[in-house]
Amino acid sequence: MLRRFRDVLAAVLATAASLCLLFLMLIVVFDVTVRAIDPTWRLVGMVDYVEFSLAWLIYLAIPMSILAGQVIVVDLIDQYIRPRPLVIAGLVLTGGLVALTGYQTITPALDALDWGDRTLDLGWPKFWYWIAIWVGLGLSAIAALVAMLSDDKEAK
Amino acid sequence: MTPQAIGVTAIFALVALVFLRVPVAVALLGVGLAGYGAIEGWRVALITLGTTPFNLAQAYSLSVVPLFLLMGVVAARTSMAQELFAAANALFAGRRGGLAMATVGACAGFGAICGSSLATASTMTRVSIPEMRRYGYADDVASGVVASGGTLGILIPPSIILVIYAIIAQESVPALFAAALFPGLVLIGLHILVIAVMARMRPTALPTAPALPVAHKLRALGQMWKMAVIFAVVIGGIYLGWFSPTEAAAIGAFLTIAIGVASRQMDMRGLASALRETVGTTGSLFFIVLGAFVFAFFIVQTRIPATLGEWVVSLGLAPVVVILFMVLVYVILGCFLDSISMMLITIPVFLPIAQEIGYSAIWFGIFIVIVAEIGLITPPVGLNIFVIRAQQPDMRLSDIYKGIAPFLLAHLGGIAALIAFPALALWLPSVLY
Repeated sequence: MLRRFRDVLAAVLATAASLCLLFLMLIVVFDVTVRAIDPTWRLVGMVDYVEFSLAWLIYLAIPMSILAGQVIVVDLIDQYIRPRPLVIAGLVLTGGLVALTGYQTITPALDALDWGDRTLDLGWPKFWYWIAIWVGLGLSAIAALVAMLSDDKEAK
Repeated sequence: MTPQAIGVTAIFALVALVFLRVPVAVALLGVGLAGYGAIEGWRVALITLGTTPFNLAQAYSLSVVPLFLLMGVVAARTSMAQELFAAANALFAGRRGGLAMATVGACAGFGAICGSSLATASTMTRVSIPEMRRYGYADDVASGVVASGGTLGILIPPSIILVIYAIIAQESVPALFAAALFPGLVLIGLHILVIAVMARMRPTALPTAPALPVAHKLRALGQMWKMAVIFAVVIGGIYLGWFSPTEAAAIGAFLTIAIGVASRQMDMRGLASALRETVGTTGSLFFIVLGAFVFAFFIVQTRIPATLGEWVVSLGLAPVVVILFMVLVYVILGCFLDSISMMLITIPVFLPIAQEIGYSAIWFGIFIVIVAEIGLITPPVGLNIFVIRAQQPDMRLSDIYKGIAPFLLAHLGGIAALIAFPALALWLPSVLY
């Protein structure tokens, strides 16, 4: 059950992040193409489009990589000791640190909302970027927990 | 404790945590936070921790990374590597060691588009090792060429590792791409030289494949048009100022997908799988970059780079001695850490020292990438070695290690050339930008 939840969550995150990546690629290609046709045609707010899709891509990809066990680790020690306790400890640290990071983002995010910070080109509220960060870090903490529990269950 | 003492303790703690299997990103984040807290107080450290994710979310220059990754992943799923190998083989066929030289050429060309050493080594293992074995090449030669040739991919532009360096060192991506071109060509030349020498010393280990008729050569060369078009558009576009790196990466990814679809080597299912693979790699890379941001803030607070730089200058050592010491550190670290982690951990410390003794950040970026490449082929981690072994399980690990040894000379020669002639890296960017 937990394994299934892990796979479904990873698939949903991968699909959502893939859509962000596709959007990022296509919007830049569109902008370059229309500028090639006529230099006066350009998509206003390209930087905002790119940064916004990139923010969502990054913060959906991080929990996906945790769930898929793709985070980079040096596993030399596996040759000498049983790695499971270290894997679990690594996931606990991962979950704890991303949760702490997420908690610490609350104040600056709410400040950005209160002060009405906006992007330069399109005037989008910067708070929207903070939402991507909250979603990403929250899902990362959940991903570490799910990975830990499902690993534990499989081991048993 | 002084900030410097805290910094040194933290660096040891970081290495210990990494070896205890803590994810590199988490070790960087945790040690960076704890160290920052010990120096500046927890309130300041936690405020920095809370604002760092936003720096990552609004970094336009980082958009290059997933787009180039996608381009490489898609290229690896098409027949571009086979076509490139056939073209390179057509050029070198009839010479002793020609297949090995063709492998180096194909690795360099494919690595240029792919941007990943592992993907290059993995693809070329499938493409060229069976061919070399068929013609009677010794296993150590066949595996050594692919393992070492695979590393050429991370230097020849467009290179993901150079983009990440550019972001951390706050340098220009196009200037770094320009700087990497000649050192990359020199490294290719040195690899071919090593093969030529080996062919003279061990003729039976590197037999001669039959020469090809001119018509066959021309046909094979013509088949590499896909690679040529993508490379010309992406790198030519950046060098000529037509595109920004982000635009070049998006065009390159789009073009690679379009060519894959048009040649019926990529369907919707394949594209979805390529996107998923790219997203996974993006997540693991950016998690490390997030940790590296926090760690870099902490290292600046320790004043270790400045103190070390002043100390090195006060010793009156020749700059080349300091650089050679860094080579030694990187070679040792490279035995245990992957190249991106190694770079992200060391740049905040080593780059200011290099600048203090007179080296430019552009030169240092090329230097660090060449040295990091060595880590990919040195035991015990040497990821390229494991990629080959996983796909050719009947090859002995000892043969692969033996095969790599001569090519280490090529890498060391490349480093020596870069140190002796800094213009190798600095001339082209000075002309173009």
